[in-house]
Amino acid sequence: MPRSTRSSSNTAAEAGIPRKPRNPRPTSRARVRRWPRWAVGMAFVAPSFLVLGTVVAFPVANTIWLSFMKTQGKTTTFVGLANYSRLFQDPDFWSAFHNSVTFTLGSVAGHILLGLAVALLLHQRIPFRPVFRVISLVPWMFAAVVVAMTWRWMLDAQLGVINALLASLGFRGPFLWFESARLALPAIIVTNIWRGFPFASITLLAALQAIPKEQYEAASVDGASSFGQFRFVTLPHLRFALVIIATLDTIWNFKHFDLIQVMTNGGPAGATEVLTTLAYKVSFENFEFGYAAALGVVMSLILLATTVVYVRRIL
Amino acid sequence: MTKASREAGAVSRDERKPRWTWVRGGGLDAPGPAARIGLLVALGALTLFCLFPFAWIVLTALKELSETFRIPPTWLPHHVTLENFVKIWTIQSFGRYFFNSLVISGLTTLLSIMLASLAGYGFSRFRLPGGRIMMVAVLAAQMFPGIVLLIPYFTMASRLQMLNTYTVLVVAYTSFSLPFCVWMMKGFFDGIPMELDEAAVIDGCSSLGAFARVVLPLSLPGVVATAIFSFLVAWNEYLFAVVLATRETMYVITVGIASNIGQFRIQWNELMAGAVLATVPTIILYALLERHLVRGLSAGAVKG
Repeated sequence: MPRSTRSSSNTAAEAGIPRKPRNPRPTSRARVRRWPRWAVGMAFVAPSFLVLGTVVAFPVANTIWLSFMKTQGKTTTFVGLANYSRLFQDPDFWSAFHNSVTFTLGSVAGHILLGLAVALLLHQRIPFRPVFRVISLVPWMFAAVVVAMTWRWMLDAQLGVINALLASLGFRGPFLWFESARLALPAIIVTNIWRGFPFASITLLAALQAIPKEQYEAASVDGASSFGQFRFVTLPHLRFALVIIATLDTIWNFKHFDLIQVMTNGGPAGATEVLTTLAYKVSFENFEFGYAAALGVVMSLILLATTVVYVRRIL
Repeated sequence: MTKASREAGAVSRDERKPRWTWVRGGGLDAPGPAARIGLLVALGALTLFCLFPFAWIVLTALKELSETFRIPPTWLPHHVTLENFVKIWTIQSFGRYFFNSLVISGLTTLLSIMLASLAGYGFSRFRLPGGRIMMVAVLAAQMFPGIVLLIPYFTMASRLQMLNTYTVLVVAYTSFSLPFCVWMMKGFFDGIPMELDEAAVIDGCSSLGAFARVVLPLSLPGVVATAIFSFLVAWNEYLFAVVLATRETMYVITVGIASNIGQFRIQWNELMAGAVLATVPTIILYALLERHLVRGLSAGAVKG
């Protein structure tokens, strides 16, 4: 403790000098702190970086290193770029890549369109607005695993409520949502749109509420129709929020795992296999950590490009 | 404030925002009758869309097994039963999973609050070398797919004999919630005038003392929001839990629910009862967090 070692009373007593009265002025206290200010700040920040280092920085560095290795049991041998060249020739990788892109684009587009519609609706003159705002947040409360199981149950071919509804509306069913390679990915995307749109809608609602009302008045004085007001007043104000939502949502959905893993586990026959579920299989079912690491590095690079866009926008 | 003036204030507030009629929207004229009907239809559709899956979880959880096999499915349970909840809590040992989730999420919350408030204070009050880069680095930590972090983390944990422990999940979940929490706490601290902690230091507080005794109590809303957020992150996580805690007694609730998929015949009524259990804490916390969450999330995106 720097304070006790530096206190002058000890040394003064040892030297036989009569104790000086303690200086009550703050300057003497201030001298007790011997650390420079930036170092004190670093001490505040350091514990967080320790945790992030253990769970993020070290694993990332280790994954990069691992991606040049071949792991078999407990032995690890250097293989250079072999994992990467194998990856780019692997049809499973390209199929998963394609599915990841479809899943991400479909989800992001759905989140933004539905989120915008809901935000505009909640921005109108409506009764009980706070109640409806909470209702519109409900899908967000559920763990992805719970959402996955619920929609699997609702979309069950024989017992599911959605097929029953479709049948009563006259559609020829039953639709085999998870047994059909054509329907499985769209079913997952719809589930994911339900799960994720509240982020877009509340963010856009907040952005809508920040638009000065005078601009609408000015526009209507200038003779703008309500579509014109939307096009030339609302949309420009939402541009920043839309870009942020699009980039963040792209990152989140591209690396999403739970929903797909629980709903279909990549099936049927790889029709819903995305990069994350593929990497999970390669690492924790086949235990090919090196190959999975290469897959992870490629995914991270794609996400890095998206993140750079995001960071440059917010700074 | 006297009673009369408070009442007057209440009246004027009511005049501005009538609660039981059409609330004023942004810059739009009062809707005509046709538009009102359109809005009501849209609101009805929104409500149905958002709440139906939730309602279906609850309705299924109250049904007997035989009723879940009806084709077409019945809307309301013919015979309401709470047996499913008892069964999953005892026979399927969801009680244990619930307890595990509670401990892990609670510890994650504590650790996250401590670390995030310290770091947020550091970023808010001190001019750090490379501070801006570090802030971005914190944010960029969210970028990596979980699976990339999981492979080395799993290897490390298994070398240290730490698989199937609470610690390994608590540390991981803390790192997931830290980026958002650090930024949120920094935002809260930025709103508190620096003169307050300077005064505390002059009165003899150390930096840590000024932080813990003066600034932290003032940012209690931020601490609460951070706490709830990190609790939810930990409560809802699945990927790390399914890989790092494979012993059945160490399952968390999401893993417990997902472990049903492998079964030959899923007992949907019991599973949906599990879904209700897994969601109860979330609903409570969301009710508390809603306002903070909306403000915290939207602040970054709206300001530009």
